[in-house]
Amino acid sequence: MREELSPRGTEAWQPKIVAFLCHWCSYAGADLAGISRFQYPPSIRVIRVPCSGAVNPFYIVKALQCGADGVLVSGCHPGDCHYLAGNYLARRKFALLKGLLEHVGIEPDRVQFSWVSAAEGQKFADVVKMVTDRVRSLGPAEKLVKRGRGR
Amino acid sequence: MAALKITKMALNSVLALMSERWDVFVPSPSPAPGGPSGFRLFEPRPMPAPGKPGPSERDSSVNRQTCDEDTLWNGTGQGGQKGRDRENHLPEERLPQFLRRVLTVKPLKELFFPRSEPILGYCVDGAFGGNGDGTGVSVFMPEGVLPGKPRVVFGARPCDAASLTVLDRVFADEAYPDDFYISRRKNTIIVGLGCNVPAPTCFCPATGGDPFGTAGLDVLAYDLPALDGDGSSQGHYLMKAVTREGEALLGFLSEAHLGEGPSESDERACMALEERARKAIAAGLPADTQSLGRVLGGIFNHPYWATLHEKCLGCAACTYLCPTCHCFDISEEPDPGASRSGGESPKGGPERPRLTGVRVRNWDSCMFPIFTLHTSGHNPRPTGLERVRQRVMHKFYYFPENFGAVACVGCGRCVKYCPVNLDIREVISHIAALGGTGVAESISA
Amino acid sequence: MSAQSPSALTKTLREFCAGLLDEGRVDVVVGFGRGTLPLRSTPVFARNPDDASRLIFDATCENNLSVFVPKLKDKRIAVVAKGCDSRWLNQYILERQTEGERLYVIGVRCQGVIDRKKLDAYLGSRRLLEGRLEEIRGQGECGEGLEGEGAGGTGGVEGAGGVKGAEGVEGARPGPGVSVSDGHIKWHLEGNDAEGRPWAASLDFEDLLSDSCKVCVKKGPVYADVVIGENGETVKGNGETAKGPEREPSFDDVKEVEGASIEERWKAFRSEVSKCIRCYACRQACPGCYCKECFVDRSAPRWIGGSDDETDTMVFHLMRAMHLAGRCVDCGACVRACPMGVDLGLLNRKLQKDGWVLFHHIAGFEREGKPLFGTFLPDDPNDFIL
Repeated sequence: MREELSPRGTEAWQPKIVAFLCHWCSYAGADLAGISRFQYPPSIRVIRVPCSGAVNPFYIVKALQCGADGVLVSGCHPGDCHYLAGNYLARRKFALLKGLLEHVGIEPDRVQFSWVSAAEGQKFADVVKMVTDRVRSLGPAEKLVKRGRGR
Repeated sequence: MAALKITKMALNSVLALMSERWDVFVPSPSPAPGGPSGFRLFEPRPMPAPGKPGPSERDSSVNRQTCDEDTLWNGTGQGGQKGRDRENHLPEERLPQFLRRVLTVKPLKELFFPRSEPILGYCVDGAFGGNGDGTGVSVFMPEGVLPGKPRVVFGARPCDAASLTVLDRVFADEAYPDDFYISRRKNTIIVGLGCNVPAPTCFCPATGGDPFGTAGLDVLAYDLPALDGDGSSQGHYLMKAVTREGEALLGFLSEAHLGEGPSESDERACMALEERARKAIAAGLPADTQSLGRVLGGIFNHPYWATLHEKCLGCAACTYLCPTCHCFDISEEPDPGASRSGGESPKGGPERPRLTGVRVRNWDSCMFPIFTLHTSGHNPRPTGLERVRQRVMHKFYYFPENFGAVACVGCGRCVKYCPVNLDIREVISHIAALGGTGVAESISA
Repeated sequence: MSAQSPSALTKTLREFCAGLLDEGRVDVVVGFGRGTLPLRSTPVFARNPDDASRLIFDATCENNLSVFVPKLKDKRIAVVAKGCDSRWLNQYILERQTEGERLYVIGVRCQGVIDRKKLDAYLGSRRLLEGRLEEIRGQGECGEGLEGEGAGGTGGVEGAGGVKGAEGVEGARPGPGVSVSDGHIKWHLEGNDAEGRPWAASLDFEDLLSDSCKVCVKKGPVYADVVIGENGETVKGNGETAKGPEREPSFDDVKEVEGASIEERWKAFRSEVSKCIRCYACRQACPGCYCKECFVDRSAPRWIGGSDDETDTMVFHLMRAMHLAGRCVDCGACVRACPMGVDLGLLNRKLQKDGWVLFHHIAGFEREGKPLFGTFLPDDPNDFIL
């Protein structure tokens, strides 16, 4: 998250979105999107995780605190989890986390969840595009971003 | 100028005048949810045009105080409503009313030893392979850490001021002077306010203090109630200089004709207030703490500690709100988005990453298990027993041994805010009683 | 306070606990005793029949005593449990933190407990020297202190004020059976003002009531080995977990916030968090925070910084709440423990509401099964997923 691609807040501004992708489905879906040359905005920074169920809500909040403009968590479709129920368990946590963040005033569109299978390269590109558009319309994240005190 | 009497209605003008030369801090002792609860910067308001009734005068007509307390309470949105925006705005005009509350929730130490203060800033240039012109680490003093403008605190209670004399022994020690603390201490003048009616949690006399004690103060103010025919609807503050700095402050005010010298009857009123307060606080005091060390030295392994700590939850409410607790932890706070505010990048090229951050000193508490946790995983104070014992021992035994003073000023904050009512006054009395029964001697023998 | 004779409930409680200890059926009774300040109680650990004489129970008993259960080494523990305490005892068993056989639950019917910060807000510069709960029989004793003319009044007390006027006059229902729901119990306060003049007032029970008690879904114990009623009667618990809440949970407070704009909510959250001094009284008072090492104390990885950085404190509060999602029984112990008046309910209650609305889940009513996040249904809400 260190490099700045273009000045914040300008037309050309590209949001930085941290994407937690499950190894078995969404990461493979992203791979397929790449191989198939489906175009999507260069806004995501992918972190591969074993399962969407392994995404501690803390990771999401921490990403926001570290300056991510948005967070995307993507896993296998319900019923297709490699670990049988990881995504089901994740879904409950995410439902409450999303509500909580919105409750304290963080724009709901900054945190998104999706199910993308290994065969859905096009869907992955679409999801990234949609998430990027929504985050872009919100502008750079200001809330919850730790600024630090150094200079 | 050794003493100066101002009317309470003039307090705002006095503080406003002071703010031209000093940063003036006043208590915001509102315990109401949403209310600020420490010392805050006084914000001078524009003076009303001459002839028009000023806000303070208008207010004074409804300032029969019980009524005033209730309007304040009702105004906080309490009493049934769970308001989310319960901002308890404290108009400066109401300051004399708020000053009557005994204590702020957060102690005065915060102005000298903040909960969190950067003590060093650093910048690592080219840490990620920059083009070579700025390699290395630069260390600097973060901006705004050391106070610039001198400060005046108005309305600190004598116990809070006395706590500074305790902290001085640690931070203004000759061998290990703490520049941050000392610089704040040196540029702050403290105007104390004697306690006409101590709170039920107050026990300063048991620690060598007094409701009108002057330790740590530059000026001591007396809250003189309104008398019939003295022309004030709210009464006066009679300020008496304690130190030369205090004298200079009063001189500055008197030059601006903001007060008058005290009369003999004022002096008598002060004496009466002092006497009444001492009498009131004398009831229900715990044992004197000054000789507690003698007992504590012999009861390190006494079974008393096992029963004492049982109800302690292990939070830091007592230590963080204690005006004399001074333990801290130093940690590094790297700036997460450091490169964002980073240096100029060569045209067209990617921005040169920089690693910046600050070293921060934060309050810490002996009540936390992590306080004594070693890197090895060993913890010399593994349970609440050792931690509660440490707190008591430090205040009444180790600190007096090392510095010649009890590390407690009897403000009663820990008594009031402990979530389980672990009352230090009770502890003091229990320990004194252990000494009386000769347990201490028999154990140490 | 000491002058007050013990209530029927307290008398029975003492006798009963002395009996338990005497017979050796439990090793310790965790209960409440009279504190050192007016309207203040303190946890008591009674290990012999004599200690039991220190026990009390009334509306000043604000702590959630179940918090002590994992810390105690005693073999058999009796806990004096309000509704919320008993819900956490259940939760401990559900989360395998203790065994049901180890606990003896002495249920007490609770009418709600005091929030001392509301008392402080009321007192202002007045000093409280005595306080007690009082049954009001006659007329005109309603709180003179409350009739403030509303300078800057937000109308926040209208509800309470209105009710008070009406009921104070109706008055005159004698007998020990009068309960709070009849509106006849008041806080009687005495002390002196900032000039040393004596002062007294009586406030409606609701005025100083903890916020979480106002929305309590079950004031009686959910599971108890014995229940001691308001009039000192003992009822043997049947040992069965009650089926569920006494009333549908209401979330008007949460809905109120949800009605605000996103920026207003952010402002409110910031303002709450700005009060926090990170003393962790909320964490320590919470029975749910039993982690051996809290995430805030971890150094590898270091999740949050220890300074007063606003975002660190926000992350602390968000994650504290998330760790308790689906587990919090809304006892309000964290809110009452906080010395700074941070409204932790702002977060806890939202998670409870969503748990209820989305999953029809409410914590503390089951001793067996799985916690909210330990299970799932295939048709759980999915509409928030892209």
